[in-house]
Amino acid sequence: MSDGVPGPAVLGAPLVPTDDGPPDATATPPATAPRRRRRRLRLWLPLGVIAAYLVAGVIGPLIARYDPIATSVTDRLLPPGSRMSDGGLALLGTDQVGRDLLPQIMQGARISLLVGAATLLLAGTVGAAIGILCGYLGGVVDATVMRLADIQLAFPSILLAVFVAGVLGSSVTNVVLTLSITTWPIFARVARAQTMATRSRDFANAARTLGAGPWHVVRHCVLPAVASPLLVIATVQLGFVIVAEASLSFLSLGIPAGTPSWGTTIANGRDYLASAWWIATLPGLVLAVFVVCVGVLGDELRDRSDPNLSTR
Amino acid sequence: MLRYALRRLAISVLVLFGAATVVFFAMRAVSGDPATAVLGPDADQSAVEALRREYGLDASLPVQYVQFLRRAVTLDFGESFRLHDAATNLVLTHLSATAALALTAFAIALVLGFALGTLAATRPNGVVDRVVSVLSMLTQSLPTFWVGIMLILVFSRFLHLLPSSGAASPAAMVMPAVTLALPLLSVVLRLVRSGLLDVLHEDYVVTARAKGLSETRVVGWHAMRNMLIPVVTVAGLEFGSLLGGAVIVETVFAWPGVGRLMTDAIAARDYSVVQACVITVAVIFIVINLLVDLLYVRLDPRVRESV
Amino acid sequence: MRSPTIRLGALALAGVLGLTACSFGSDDPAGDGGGVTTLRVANPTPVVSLNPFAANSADQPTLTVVQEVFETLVVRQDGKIAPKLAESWTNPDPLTWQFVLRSGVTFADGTPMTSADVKASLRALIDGKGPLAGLWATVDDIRTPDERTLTIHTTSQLGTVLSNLTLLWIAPAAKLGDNAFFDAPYGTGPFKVSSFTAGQSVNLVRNDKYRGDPPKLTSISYRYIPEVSGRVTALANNEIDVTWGLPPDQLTGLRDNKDLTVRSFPTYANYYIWFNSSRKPFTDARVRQAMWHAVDFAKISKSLFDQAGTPATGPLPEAVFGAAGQNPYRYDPARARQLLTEAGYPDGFSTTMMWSSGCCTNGNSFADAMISDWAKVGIVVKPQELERATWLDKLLKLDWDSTMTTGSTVTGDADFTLARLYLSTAKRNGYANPELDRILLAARAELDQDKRATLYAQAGKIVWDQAVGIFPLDLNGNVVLRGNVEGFTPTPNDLPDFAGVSLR
Repeated sequence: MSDGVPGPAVLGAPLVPTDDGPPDATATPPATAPRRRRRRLRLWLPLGVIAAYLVAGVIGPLIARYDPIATSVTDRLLPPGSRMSDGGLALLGTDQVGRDLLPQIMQGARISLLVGAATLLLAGTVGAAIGILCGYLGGVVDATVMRLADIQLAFPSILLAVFVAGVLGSSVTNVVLTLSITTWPIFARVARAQTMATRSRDFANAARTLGAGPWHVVRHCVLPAVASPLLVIATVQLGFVIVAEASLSFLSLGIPAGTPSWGTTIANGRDYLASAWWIATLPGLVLAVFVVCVGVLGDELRDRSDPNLSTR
Repeated sequence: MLRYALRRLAISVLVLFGAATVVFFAMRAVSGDPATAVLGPDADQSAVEALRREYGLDASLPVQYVQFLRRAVTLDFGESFRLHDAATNLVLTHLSATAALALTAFAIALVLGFALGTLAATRPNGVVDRVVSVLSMLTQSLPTFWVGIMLILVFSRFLHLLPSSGAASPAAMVMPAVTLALPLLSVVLRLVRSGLLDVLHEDYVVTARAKGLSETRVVGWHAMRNMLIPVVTVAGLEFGSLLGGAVIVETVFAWPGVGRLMTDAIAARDYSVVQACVITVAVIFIVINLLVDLLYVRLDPRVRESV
Repeated sequence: MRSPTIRLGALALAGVLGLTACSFGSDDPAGDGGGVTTLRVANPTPVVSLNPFAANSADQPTLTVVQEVFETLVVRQDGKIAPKLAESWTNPDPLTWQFVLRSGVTFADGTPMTSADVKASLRALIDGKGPLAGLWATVDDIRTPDERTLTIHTTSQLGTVLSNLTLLWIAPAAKLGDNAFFDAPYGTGPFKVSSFTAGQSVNLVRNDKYRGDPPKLTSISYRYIPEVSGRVTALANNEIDVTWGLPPDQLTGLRDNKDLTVRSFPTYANYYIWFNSSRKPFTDARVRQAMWHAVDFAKISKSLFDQAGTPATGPLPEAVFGAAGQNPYRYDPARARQLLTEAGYPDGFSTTMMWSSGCCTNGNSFADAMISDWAKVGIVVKPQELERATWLDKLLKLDWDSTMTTGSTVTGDADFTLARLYLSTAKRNGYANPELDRILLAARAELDQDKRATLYAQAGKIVWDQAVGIFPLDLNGNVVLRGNVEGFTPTPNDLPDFAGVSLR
């Protein structure tokens, strides 16, 4: 699914490793004060927004108590700012069974962010480990595992989602599993390319010549070089994964009913877009703002990690 | 070069075999029986068994597997349980609809991506650059089905500009193609922008400038060629998934494509169609990436030397 | 600088630009022009087959189309059986049904319709082993003494023959064995199929050989639009003339639209939530009854369903032959708690409810609302929305606690639903009651239709009072038409029939 489950769009991760020369220090003019301020803003603004989301996700449901089970059918489809029958104010309106949207979105943030983080952790760790292994060892291991990754990429992810839901049942864990299986090759490819580039660098060769074992080389030479591009990829993929969770919900293959996530709320509201636009639109905007912030942060991190780009 | 191509071909066949095997066993591992899915809950057991026999599902799994592989080699995937037509036929007719959609989406993404990316890169960190980059991220961060339904409401229901669904006229393709193009557009745009910026600092571009070539020619040819490499790579990968997964767009816009054929087939446990779809999509994915890699070799002298 | 690369790139770009330009070229969306006599229909579900004799014989989308093409021996009109291709019928003995066919009926290809065609059609339905084949399980002989006479002989008395015949479509005997026939079938009906793309679209054209008044439409085109938003927009934008099966919330908005007519009408379909009576705690009737008393169905159905449903009075929708009103269960959480305590669950219990995604009108909202009410009496119900194939698999294996679904009594006869689902031999919901079995089998064997109705009222009472399931509401059908569509008459089988429709 190009639109839902993360596509293998590996930003700045060439399939064939290229060996960039050392950064050209003379090309970097000194940064001016307003530019520095803008750059600080580009780092701290998205970080601030993301932090606000985390706080809302963690504390929000504690303050505005949200019971995903309780419905109030007489309060259904109320527009934002309406009074509900129990006297409460539905700041963002109510959904199709009369649940207040605001606490639902905050509760949804928990699930969606959890799914995103867990997927990245799982896919990132496994993918990076496999990538480093392949890049370092090369040969048969590399060829075999990379072909497996190819099969994975050629295999429709929706079938995978059905497969996981059909065999293991539908649950938050299984959504994480599905998304991780679709995402790991991306991390693996990046880690592999970076490892291959690094292991033949002078300092790695020097370490080996000095008698360092493979573990030492990986830990002290490869890992530091792999970490920064992986982090950048992770920020890009986080957005993909959270949007993908919503797309799975559209196909009824996502988070099971009864557990609110952004995706389930948006998917449930889609038939009401013409009459009760807020159900699908408000969580959609909340999701979009988050993903954009993560994206801006990712760009900024990439720029910072590459001294060549500091002029931009 | 030839040896490289041959090796890639051999690997491709292996990948294909792997995908075929996975789909064969995955479909059979998922709960739900094709005969029951077709007949519904009210048919009696003998009817279900008769249908299973007709589909050849009464044979043992290894026998079915060997038969499946043997027939797949001749592009025969058997008959659809649900639609009563040869699976290969069904996939091909639906594939043309998806291909038309995907190619248009691809074209939109490339053209707009190049245009906006170049625009953004000419003044890095300018207002245009910022606006374009946030907008591109926004297009990527809204769920496709939401965007699609919104487009229908705005352009069909309220403005009456475009037909809401179906594949009857070229105008009907505009909204689905744009919806499908948006996530790809943002990827292309960002690659073009960063690629262009990278290249503009390379020695040979600086040299070209120094030689007195006009800025258009510098950006146009020297820079473009190098920037094409990552764009082509990623676009190739994305194109594969574009074809295989236009599911949501096809559902929202009632577009009779292969994505919807496959989801419906999966839901009905229509093994033959699912297998035919998966293998077709895999073949397309492999071919495109083969082409991409060959193009890659052609574009990048460093790679060419290493091959 | 290498020029071949450049040329390649330029070429690719030019091609891409050209392609994009093409796709934005034309603009007229509908483009049907004036003097339209084609009715443009959008199906809510795909038509995957036009063969009403095999696997799809009880499939609503299939039946919706084939009813315009084929005819049956008898039809159900206002709840009573009326002649169609059969003129009259008698029972020479309780095991034999004899039909006299109407004369002068021809198929669309000009060949006359005879008793041999009827015999072949019934054989095809039985041998097709589809979901309706079971209705005819006791038929042991079909004879054609002459071209206009047909006899059906059964091994035991079968009181449902006439009801069953309302779903026996008569096709030419010579064509029944030919699978290709069903790509563009024809019969004795007012239309014939001109083209069919399984899962997408069907086009019908007028059958010029039709014996009755020729239909005012020259053709009908059906196409499948899966998403509700797309379907409603297509209707509002005059891309289609009619659709049906819309969720109630959409109808509220459409009723205000002056260009559209919304028709709501009672159908043979209802909602039900079954309990697995072979699984604890639902083995105890008191627990099942408590589940019913715990939910405020009146409030839920009013808010969620508006005019799309009416509170049920029995396990069968009121329009069905054999339906009878039963004692209503009132909303009474205290009574529910008391029943739970008597059954040994004073603090409630935890259970699950499954349904297949997209199965039911407003299904997810309905489930949410019920679960919310159950929680108030201490019953924690975990929702399980499943893919249809998985749901079906679990359903038939009785691997579930409770399940929500909607069902239709397609023949309009109580036997179709009660005997199919509630005989202990059916093994559909774990409920087994010899008394119920006896009544249902007696009703099937009874030829006197009034006596059958009385027996079904008794059977319905057992199913209802024992709370084999909850029967919250009968579903109303809805058809939404553009203002220029005239002469549409809804039928309770919820198979919209457009033969009598004209366009203004």
